[in-house]
Amino acid sequence: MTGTTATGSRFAQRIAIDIGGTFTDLALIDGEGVVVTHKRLTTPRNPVEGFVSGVSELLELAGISPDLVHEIRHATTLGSNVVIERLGAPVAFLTTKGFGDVLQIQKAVRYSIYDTRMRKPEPLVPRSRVWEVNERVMASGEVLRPLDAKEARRIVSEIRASGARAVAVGFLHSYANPLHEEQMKELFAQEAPEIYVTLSSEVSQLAKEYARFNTAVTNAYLTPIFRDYLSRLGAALQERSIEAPLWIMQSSGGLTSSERAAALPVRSVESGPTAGVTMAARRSSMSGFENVISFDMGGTTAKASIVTNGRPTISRSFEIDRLEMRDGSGLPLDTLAVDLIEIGSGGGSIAQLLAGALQVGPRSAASEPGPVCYARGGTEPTVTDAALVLGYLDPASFAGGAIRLDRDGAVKALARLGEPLGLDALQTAWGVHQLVCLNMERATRLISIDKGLDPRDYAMICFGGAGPVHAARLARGLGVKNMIVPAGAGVGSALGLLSSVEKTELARTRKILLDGGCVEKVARQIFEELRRQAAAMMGCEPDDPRLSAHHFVGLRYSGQGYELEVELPSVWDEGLGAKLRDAFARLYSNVYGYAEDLPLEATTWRIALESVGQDIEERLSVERSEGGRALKGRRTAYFGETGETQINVYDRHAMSGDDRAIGPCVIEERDTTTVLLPGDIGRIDERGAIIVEIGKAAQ
Amino acid sequence: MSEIDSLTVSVIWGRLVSIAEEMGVTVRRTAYSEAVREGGDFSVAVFDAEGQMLSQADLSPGHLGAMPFAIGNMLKSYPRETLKSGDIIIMNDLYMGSGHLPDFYCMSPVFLQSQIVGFVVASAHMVDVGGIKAGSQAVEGVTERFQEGICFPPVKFYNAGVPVPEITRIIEANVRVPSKVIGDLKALRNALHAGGRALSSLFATYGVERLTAAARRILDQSERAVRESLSEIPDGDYSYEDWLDDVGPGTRPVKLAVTVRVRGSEIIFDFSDSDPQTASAINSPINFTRAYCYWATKAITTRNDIPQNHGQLRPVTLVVPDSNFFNPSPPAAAGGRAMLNQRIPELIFGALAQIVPERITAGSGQWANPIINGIDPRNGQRFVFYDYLVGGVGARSGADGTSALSPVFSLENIPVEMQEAACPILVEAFGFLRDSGGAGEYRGGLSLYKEVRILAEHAEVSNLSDRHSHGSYGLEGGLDGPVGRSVLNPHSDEPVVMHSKGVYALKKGDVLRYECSGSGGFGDPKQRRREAVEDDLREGRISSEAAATIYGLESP
Repeated sequence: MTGTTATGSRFAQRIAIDIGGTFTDLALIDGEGVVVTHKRLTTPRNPVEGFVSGVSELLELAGISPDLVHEIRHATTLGSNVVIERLGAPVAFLTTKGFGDVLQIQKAVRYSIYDTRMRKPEPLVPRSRVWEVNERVMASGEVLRPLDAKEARRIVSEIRASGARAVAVGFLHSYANPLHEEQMKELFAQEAPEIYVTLSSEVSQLAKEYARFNTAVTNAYLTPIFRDYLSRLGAALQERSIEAPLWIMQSSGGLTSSERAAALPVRSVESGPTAGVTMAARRSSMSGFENVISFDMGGTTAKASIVTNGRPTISRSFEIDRLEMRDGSGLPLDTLAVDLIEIGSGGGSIAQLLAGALQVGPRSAASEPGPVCYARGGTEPTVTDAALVLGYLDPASFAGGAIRLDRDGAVKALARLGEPLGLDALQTAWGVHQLVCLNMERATRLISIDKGLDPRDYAMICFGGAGPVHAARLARGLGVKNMIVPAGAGVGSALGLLSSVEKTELARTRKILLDGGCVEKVARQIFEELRRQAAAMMGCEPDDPRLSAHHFVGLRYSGQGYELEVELPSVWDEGLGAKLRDAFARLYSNVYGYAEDLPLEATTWRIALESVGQDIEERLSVERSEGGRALKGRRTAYFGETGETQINVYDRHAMSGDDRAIGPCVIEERDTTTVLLPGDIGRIDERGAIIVEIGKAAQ
Repeated sequence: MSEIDSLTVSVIWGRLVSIAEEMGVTVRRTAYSEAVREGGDFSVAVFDAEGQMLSQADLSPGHLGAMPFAIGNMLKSYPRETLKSGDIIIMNDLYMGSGHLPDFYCMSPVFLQSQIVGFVVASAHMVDVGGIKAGSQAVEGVTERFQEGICFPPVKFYNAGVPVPEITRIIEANVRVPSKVIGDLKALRNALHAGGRALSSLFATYGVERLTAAARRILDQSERAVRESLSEIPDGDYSYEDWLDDVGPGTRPVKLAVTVRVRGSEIIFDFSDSDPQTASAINSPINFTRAYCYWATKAITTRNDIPQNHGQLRPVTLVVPDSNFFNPSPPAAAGGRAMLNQRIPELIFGALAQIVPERITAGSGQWANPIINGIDPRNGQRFVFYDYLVGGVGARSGADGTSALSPVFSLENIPVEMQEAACPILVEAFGFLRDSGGAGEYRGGLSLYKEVRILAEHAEVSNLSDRHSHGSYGLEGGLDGPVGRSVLNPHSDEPVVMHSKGVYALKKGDVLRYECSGSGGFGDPKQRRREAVEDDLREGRISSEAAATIYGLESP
């Protein structure tokens, strides 16, 4: 048997553990590719204990001994939680003389234009922990004033005396010349070696001081916490005889060693949601869809992301801790990250009346008190209450039967909400359901336009407990024709981790005119350098055969400020410029309506270098209820198209390739329910995914 | 029948807002000037076939409030029955649009089959439209609008989908940076394309009759929300007056006065007691005045809770005689009118402070908008360094003001690293002015200062600011904000105090220091919590003298 070691016992090729806000999801793949999954509640006060217990439970479930684990992969919300709740270590910030207020001034964006009460996010470092030193580099990289070494030395001792555990150094134009920042690092190493130092030029190569400085400060803020966490984790695993190497998921969708993650924790703050998108990209490709919208909807938020040619789209910066999900209301981070748009539309989002109109979210009942139907003290109707009243959810089997839902409570709360509008509970529920789908449609459209693509050309993959309940309606709103509900949608992020690869993403800014010729030469030169750096970060030679690279370039009409990213073809010859121009023109006119006859400029060059290694063919399976009947019953549900109607209820675990679920109907499984609208046709493919053709039967 | 249920109305409302947002993203993504894509100085909105604004994206209030009138003026020149699918009308007339020539408006009819079902409009502030100084906002030496640049009455930019090349050629011949202006006009065109397509498909989905009925309901419901909120304010006349320092070197202060008349659910803004129009580039054309009266009304009623639309403008009436400072007659100039944006709501808040102090804030720090131009020694080309810095927001009942934020509009800081890469200048310092937040039980937000060194051989600055002699007001015993100033070569032996609206020749090595005026406090400073005073002192927001003398903090 291949799934055993030489001595014949079964081993765990990989273990994946995703610690989220509410649940911790685990998955394991053995040597034969068989996957075992497990779900437990997160223990926010003691993540190390939760981690180790979860892994032990999973191994027990799989019947595998702890010393037969080859590697562990981990995604965690630790980074974003520490920032959002301001629980980081005391840090100091050192900057160029005259610029000590940059972190406090921030962007001056008025993200709520009519609100006189608007606040800015609280910076991670108070002004009293900011130091200024005499030095100056110009935009060209030329040194105008050398670093004042004497003053610098005094500042180091002051910072040391202040009790800071970590310091961030951010000097103007350090992306062009990091000399002074590096000199400071040496000084700290000599005089205060116990203080962790982050240089802004280490975390970002981009101009725009506030975002780069904030990225450095965030890294410093997280470093002591990540180091403590990872070292305690290592010790606790060792205690249980697990010596396997630990890999951490980065925001950019690749794994990195725990040592690197401890040095640059700011690259892992979006660890969890990213693992979900990685799963979405892989599962859709396996089901034959290369261009998809990934839609992940949980208890408090929904996240949409775009996968093009089987790869998640990457952005060079994002904001953390945004207020009501508004642009400009959070702290900017210049790190490569899977491009996600997150909005306050989850199962727990509260519905209310404003100016005589229904509105859903962004306020959430979260898990405490939770939706009214949880009967845990919630009184305001939520998205989940609406889905229950509409007949989409089975009160007895929600979340694997973990919570018995109170339908009467939900009906009463919705009736109360709808009364001023003259609506009964069912009509109100229908309104809430439509509106939450509309909110998500809006977010998805915005991210699409931003990326220069038309959602109608994309399929949709949905997961998260609430995702498959709402996805078919969202798909219609967007004009999407195919929808995928992958097997194991409930533990999507852990499955994503299992199939992730070690990856390094690097980007470099260099402006050239595309028509200037020699694009292929410039590309070769830049990418050679980027490949060398990325390979070194992964501890291998640039020509290591296990490495595989994808190359991208950001293009814009000369004079514009925003780029659209295009992947380079595999062959780089004299025709490269023309090919890129064609690809850009298609993308641009597709969304903005017009292509211009103007010079094109290439600006940002990005490489994604992956260690392909041994790709394991997983055999996830949905435990099949052998001999069970796919059609397990009927119930009443409401759809705007049909009114109240009797629908079929299918058991996903009993469906086989020949079964067809014709909407309106629901397909139930342990962790979620897929709702099909009138005219939708669902089937199970050989990968165990539900493939839905939207509105197919109606044509 | 056009019977329509509340749910469909909610859904359509959400979609209308979303269309405006998509238009906004399109402009930002495809714009060519920093002012538009980084500064966000543009706006977009969706209108019904009658020209009523159905939704807007939350962008520049000056454009947004003026849009309903701008579109009406464009339709006077091009009656709707003459419009064809693919037509784009543009205009930058200051009296028809939002009060100064740099603001261009683009409008397109939206068709469903052969019927006009609505209009989409986009506007943006162009970096230059010609005139005597780069940036087209100079104050000194300007007395009438003919000096301020090129003016397009409503004209066709696209005719049935085909570009009108004459327009582009005229722009090329008249502005300093034609590629940016034409590029930004195309970004507006892209937004009209996206918005028009989406609006047409929304009408197709619901049918013209149902959608029109839904739109009517949306506007009526929004109007009701504003009226309900206004009804809670006791009826009466509330007056306030304030002063603009002057309208350029050697000119006198200008009296700004408003009487706010609250009558049930109606609100009337009467500016009759303000001074007459000035023979300078600072006047507030009527649409600009309207725009910020609408802003103030929304800020004291529905804030950001309800998306802005035409319904919320209905309870508002303006009374402004012709040739008043707030309703100048041609050929008055207005290039520098942006200084006034925060002043209109501030006047209104000053009046309302007498009756609903909990709904408003104290006066805010005045923003500054200096423009430097010259020849860049790195490439021999002309550069225009369009800079701005903001004050802090005034304190309000129960909370300190936010620091470094315009009280009325979104003006994202252009990063210093970008400015130095683009222009031959070096920023020596950029930070908060200690003690610029007016003292009070609740402290005003802090204002910004900046020091800029000139690296070009020769250059020229057109300064633009105010409140260098008349500070912003505090409320309920809170202190006024300190006045602002600007100084040439502040650290030299011969510093020169510059006029807030003066033009100065500069040479290499000169340093300009701009200090925005401060914001007002709210409530007696002696009542401020001790911990808050100590925190302000530790974080450098106030000086130890202020802590001791104004706040009465005994040495810790």
